[in-house]
Amino acid sequence: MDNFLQLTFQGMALGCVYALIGLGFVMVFKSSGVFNFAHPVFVMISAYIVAALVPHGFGWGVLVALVCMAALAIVCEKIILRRLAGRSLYVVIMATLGLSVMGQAVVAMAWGVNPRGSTEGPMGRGVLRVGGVALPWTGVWIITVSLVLLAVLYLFFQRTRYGLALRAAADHHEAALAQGINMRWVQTISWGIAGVLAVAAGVFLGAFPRRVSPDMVDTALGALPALVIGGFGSLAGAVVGGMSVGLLLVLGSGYLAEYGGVHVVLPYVAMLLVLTLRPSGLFGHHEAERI
Amino acid sequence: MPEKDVSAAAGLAVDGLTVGYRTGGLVLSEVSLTVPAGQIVALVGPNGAGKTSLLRAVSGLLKAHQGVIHKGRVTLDGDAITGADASAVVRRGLAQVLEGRQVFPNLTVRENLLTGAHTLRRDDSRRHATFEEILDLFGVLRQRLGQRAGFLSGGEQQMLAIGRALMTQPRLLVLDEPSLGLAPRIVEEISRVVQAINAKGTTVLLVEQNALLAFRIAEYGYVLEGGRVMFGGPAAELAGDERVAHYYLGGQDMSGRRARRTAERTGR
Ligand SMILES: Nc1ncnc2c1ncn2[C@@H]1O[C@H](COP(=O)(O)OP(=O)(O)OP(=O)(O)O)[C@@H](O)[C@H]1O
Ligand SMILES: [Mg+2]
Repeated sequence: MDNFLQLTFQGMALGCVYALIGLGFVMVFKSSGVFNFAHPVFVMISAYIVAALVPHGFGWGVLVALVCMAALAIVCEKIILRRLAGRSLYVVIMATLGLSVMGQAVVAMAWGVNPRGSTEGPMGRGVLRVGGVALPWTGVWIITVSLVLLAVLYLFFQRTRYGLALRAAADHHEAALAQGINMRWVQTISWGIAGVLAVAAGVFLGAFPRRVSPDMVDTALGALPALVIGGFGSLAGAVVGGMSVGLLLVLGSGYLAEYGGVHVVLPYVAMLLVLTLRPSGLFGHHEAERI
Repeated sequence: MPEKDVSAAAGLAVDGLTVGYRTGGLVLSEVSLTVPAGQIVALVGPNGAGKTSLLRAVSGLLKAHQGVIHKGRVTLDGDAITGADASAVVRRGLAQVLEGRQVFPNLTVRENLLTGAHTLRRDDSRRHATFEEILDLFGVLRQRLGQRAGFLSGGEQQMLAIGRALMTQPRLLVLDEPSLGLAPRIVEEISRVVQAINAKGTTVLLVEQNALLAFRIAEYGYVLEGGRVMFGGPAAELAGDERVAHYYLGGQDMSGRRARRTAERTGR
């Protein structure tokens, strides 16, 4: 039982990271219709920046990473993608793939290809004992900060003028334009939020397996089955999908250890199941019919 | 900065507008028309005449459709708005109700309306008053404030689309075929509402295929065909004009047949 609780806790922590990454994809997709393949690289670069600055102070690292990612996301959006507006989807996807490759190359030049440090900083390596269960402090941090971020995001969407504008723009682009909503701002804000989410995900991913390395890009791409499971394009779906994938991976690795690395396929099995049974995902809504 | 044309009268003036899409040829050639402040002006024409394209050119939505204004000028109350961004045009007091309603299906009715307040100043004290006025105008919406707009009926969606545009506090309201696909009773209600909005001081440009409806409530009308204004005149005269009758009431044109059907069913 204790083992189960412990694994569930770890699974939730990993799930939070996948939820944050998934939300980064969804934010950009909903506002600009672009699937940003460079997002995992944003996650990795954030982790490298924080890991490099941890000796000078974790807070500084996070601050610098936030500024860099917000700037990077906004620059990508303004300089590259806005110029491609109206071009075919392939062109835009290729552009984000190109960005991803460039980002990985820059990281390899700056920091090499071997794992570098970790981002755990004040999250530390200790454990919190609750009864017989040992909860790593990193996990406690990850879950707490993620919940706070999700709550802030929720309030932003539900209570603010731009939150409503973002939802409206995602729901019907032309109608949002006709209502006078400034689409440039909507896109800039969405990319900026995606940048902030990438920093959080980068810090957590770099603290959880305790190393910052180029493989983080692949780990972050693990958010894709989470998005499909949750229903692509749904914010709630990204969270639920992320949680499912985190739990599947950790519980799978705990209970199916004797079968080798079989747990890594579980998210994809779940994804295929969802695709067959409910193609629009758990939270993907069929568009209400308009007459 | 837009230039101020002091000689121009209040209202909307479209002057020699020539418009095309990147993917095709010209769809409007040298279109000119005016919508004097305070009036209802109707623009009718068959499918593909270019009515929607004209509205897009005026409201700044043309760019979103890869369209281009090649020539001509649009002024609103004397200020040039030719090629301005949609959000700038809304801020200047022109709101457009899109063809086919296009409500935000996953937002609630209340949220749909509030999107119209996006361009208003936060401290605008008229916001709340406008919201209440709109609900007074469209009683059905008041009962459905918390409901997702995608689940409303066609008529309710049309009222919501109009209400949402009114939330921007426009001086000029532009409607693209508000009667499209609606039952005669609802069409009647919508034409009453348009008249009520106008009576409160909002200028209206009404685009319709339903010529009878449009000319009945408008003061002045234009007929657009093949991207050109064929003729224009006081709506009362156009309603009796045999050219209009030919095209929209008696001809082989689908829209004409529909207009007549609607007219018969509403007993006019
Ligand atoms: N986005 C677009 N790209 C290319 N061509 C377009 C586009 N939208 C409209 N057109 C073309 O422009 C012409 C005018 O279309 P428009 O929609 O303005 O006509 P309309 O008078 O509004 O017709 P309807 O009564 O059917 O709404 C048509 O030939 C149409 O095919
Ligand atoms: Mg049209």
